[in-house]
This record gives sequence, C-alpha cells and structure tokens, in this order.
Amino acid sequence: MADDLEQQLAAATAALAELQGFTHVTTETAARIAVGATHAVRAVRAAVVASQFDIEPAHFQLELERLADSDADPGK
Amino acid sequence: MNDLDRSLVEVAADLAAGRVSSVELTRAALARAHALQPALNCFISIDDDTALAEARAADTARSAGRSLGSLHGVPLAHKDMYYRAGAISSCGSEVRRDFRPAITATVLERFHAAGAVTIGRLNMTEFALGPTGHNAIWGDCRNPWNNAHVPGGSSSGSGASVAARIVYASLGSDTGGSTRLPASANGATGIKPTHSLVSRHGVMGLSFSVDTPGPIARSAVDLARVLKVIAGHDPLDSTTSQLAVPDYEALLPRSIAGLRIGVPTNYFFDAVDPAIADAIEAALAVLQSLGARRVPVQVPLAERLSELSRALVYSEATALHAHYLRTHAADYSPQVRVRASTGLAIPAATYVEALQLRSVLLRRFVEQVFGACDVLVAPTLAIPVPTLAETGVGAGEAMWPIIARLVQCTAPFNYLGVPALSMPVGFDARGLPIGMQLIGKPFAEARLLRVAAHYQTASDWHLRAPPLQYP
Repeated sequence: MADDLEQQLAAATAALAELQGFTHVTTETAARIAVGATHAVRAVRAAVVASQFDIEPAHFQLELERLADSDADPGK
Repeated sequence: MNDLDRSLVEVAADLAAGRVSSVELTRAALARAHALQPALNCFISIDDDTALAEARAADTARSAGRSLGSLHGVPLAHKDMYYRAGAISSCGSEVRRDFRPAITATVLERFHAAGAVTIGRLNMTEFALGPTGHNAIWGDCRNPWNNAHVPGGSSSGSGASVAARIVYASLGSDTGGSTRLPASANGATGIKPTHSLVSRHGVMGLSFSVDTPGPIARSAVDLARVLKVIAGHDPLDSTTSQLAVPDYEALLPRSIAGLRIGVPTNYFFDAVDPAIADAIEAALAVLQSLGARRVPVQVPLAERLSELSRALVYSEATALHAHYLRTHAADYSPQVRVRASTGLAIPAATYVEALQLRSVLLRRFVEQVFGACDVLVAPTLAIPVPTLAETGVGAGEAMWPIIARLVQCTAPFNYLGVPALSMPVGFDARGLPIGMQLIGKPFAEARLLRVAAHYQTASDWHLRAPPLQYP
C-alpha cells in the first residue's frame, strides 16, 4: 500500500517525466518509480546527520587508497 | 577426469607443459557450450571460429617457444557488456542488439595479452539492471543445479557457464551484487574488487560511481590468477587506482592463524534463512579450525547502505539511459524500463548528498569494523535461491520484496566500494548452492583470496559439479 508521500511523488514523477520527454512513464510506472525513489531519498535523509558543506565527492577515491589494506601480516 | 572439470591453474600448467593443446581444450569447451545451451542458455553468442583461431594462435606461439602469459590458451567467456572494437556487444538488450563499439575494453586487452581464448558472449540481465538473470530479449539464463531456479544476476551467464564447467573463468560486473549473486547461486567463487582496482574502460556503464568489473571462477586459487591479470591502473580510465597490484597467488599460502573473522551482530543475519545460517556457522567452524578467531562486530548504518547505493545507481542509470528511454522505450522489458527510470524521481541534491556521504561512511565502516576484525563475513544471499517464476513478471507485486532481498547483503559493499568475495559453503535442502561473503578493507583482495583459498583446502563445496548431461 503506497503511503501519502509515495502517491504525491507518483504524481510529481509523472509531471517530471513529461517535462523531460519520457513518454513511456504511465501512471502505473510512475507509482512503481515513486516507491523505489521514496525509499532511497528517505535513506539519504536519515543518513545525513551533519553538514557536508566541505565534502568533495571525488575524494572518495582518495579515501579508498588512504584506507588501503596492506596484508603485510602473515596472519596475526 | 575431463580437462574441463579441472581447475584453471592446473590446465594452464598442462598447457605450458604441452600435455594438452589450446585447440583441444577450446574444442571441448565449445562442444560443451553448444550441448548445454538448450538447458541453460548461458550464451548470447558462441563464437566457434574466432575461438578456434585464438586457440590455434596460442598453440602456434607455444610451439615457437613464446609464452603469452599466465592464461596462455585457457578458454574463457565474458558477460556481453565488455566491448571489443567492431564486434557486437548487445549488453543483453534489444536496444543494443547490433551495437558495435569502436573501442575494446582494457580488461579484454589484458586477457588477450595474457593468452586467454574467448569462446563467446555470455547472457546477462538486460543492461545489467536486475539481480535474477531474467532476460526477456535473449531468453532467461537458468541455474545449472536446477533449471527452474534463477542463476542470479546480472552476470547470469558468467556464473552458470563457470559452474557448468564450460569455461574456467568469466568476467561479470558488480553494481549491487551482480558478480557475487551468480557466484553464490551457482556454487562458484566470485569477487567484487575494490572500486577503482579494475578498469571500466570499454565496459557498459550502469552506474559509474559503483560499477566494478569482477571475475568468477571455480576456486579462490583460480580467481587469484585471473584477478592479477585484469587489476591495476589503466591510463584509459582516470578513475583507476595507481596502487601496485600484489601477486595474489604468491600470497595465498600464508597462514590465516590468528586472523580475526568478524561476524555481524546487526542487519546481515536478520531473518536469514536457517539453512544459510547453518552453512555459514559450519564455514566459520572450519575457519576457526584453521586458526582464525571469531569476533562479533557491529556494522554502522548497515540498514541504510543498500538504499544509499540505490540513490546513486538509480540516478546514474537514468542519466545513462535517458536518450534510449526517450527514443526506444518500447524496446526495454517492463521491469528493466522501470528500474532504468527510477532516477527520474530522485532529486539531484539527494544524489549529491549520497555521493558526499560515501567517504564519511567508508571511513566510519573501516574504523569500526576493521578496528575489530580483519575480515568480515556475511551471507551472499539471505534467502534460498528463488525460482524464475517467483521473480518474473508473472509473479506480479509479490516479486518485488523477493528481488529487494536478493541484494540485501551485497549492495551495502558496493556503496562503500570495498572488496567482497563470495564462496560456496554448502547446499540447501533442494540442492541449490549457498554462498558466504568475505569482506575486507579497501584493496584487501589478497587477504580475502587467502582466507577463501585456505577454506577451500579444508572443504570441497567448490569442487562439486551440477548434475548435468555433460558431453
């Protein structure tokens, strides 16, 4: 059962789809898209708990290398 | 024993010693591919002529005393999304049924340089958008252990062809679990390397922030050989890491005594199927018998990570597919069309927030998890391998929660970019394989392969072959 926000987002999705030229988005498709998008957006909102004003997304690659495993230990 | 039933490393040694030729092996692989195709539908295309030409070239080089590399003469096949200049790469789709790219994937160039033979293009979920292996365009790939069940996706043909002993290894790709799920569902060993370890140049994109090419093989030892060939910086992919690539095979024998194996106390074992939980318990006991220590670990924000990953994947997938959706929407299957369109409803600011949050959560994950353990374990699939019918469009709304659960334990590590390996640890009551993940710090592939290789010296799940009518 879709909640109120999902229903509102479905209507907005249909409008956004039309604006962007995606003619394949039917009411049913918009409703399914809204379910997936609502979950994702809620997760992001819940996970962001501090300002990200100074975070550069591309630094993720550098962070992977900075945290790299060495596997220098022959079993501890 | 049939040569196709032996390990990649063994046949590579036999090829090097001249005990078998590449043409002989390739003919056998092609024969088995054709024989099993009606039952499994692993391939989109079986390329006899080019495969045999490559095999002859490998044998000629060997006769002339030239060694091409560590995969000299070994027959492989890859998911049909790795571009080869001038050759069709359908991406499992109708939209790209006749697409002929102008470039060749760096990973294919590296396989070629290492002497490997390619026998065909493997089936996959349309545009890699889905975890089951259904494909309405090219036909569903089927699980070799029971062809009523899914082979897992999106690298469905990659998992099934390796498990069915057609090829020794294959390339899949992993954006939400697409290498690990087929490895698990088919009883193979597969790895999603660290994001940026393997080049994406010439590889179909689904979500460039998350996509990771990953190999599937029959054992960790074979996987170590294959990963070494494809890993490492590529000047044609600016996002690849400059870090040196270890000699994975050379590091395998080192002991795992004293290694701390982390078992999550939250999320990953919530509502896990009892048979899967039992198989993982037994695998942990084997690792403990080898000297590893088991420790409980709390995984921070685990319940959010899959959705955070989806925020990236949906947004980027919709951007990549936008033109095709405007011009060829009718050529998509219904499920895939919805998945490719979901980014329409995700605000751009939300997408960027999810991107920014990655390094924050990666740091927290590494500090908290790998402060307490050396390798984390989790189920690959938390539910038994479902049937094609349960997860197809015919199942209606009931399929969506099953499909969501398929990636419950795999997608979190795509968001974090860390390596995750899936290896077989048993079978359920219906005879379908069970997989367990080993997860490590960034660039911990050597450690994961080492733990898996030690486990496989003390178990034989990875040696079992599906009950097929082999030629």
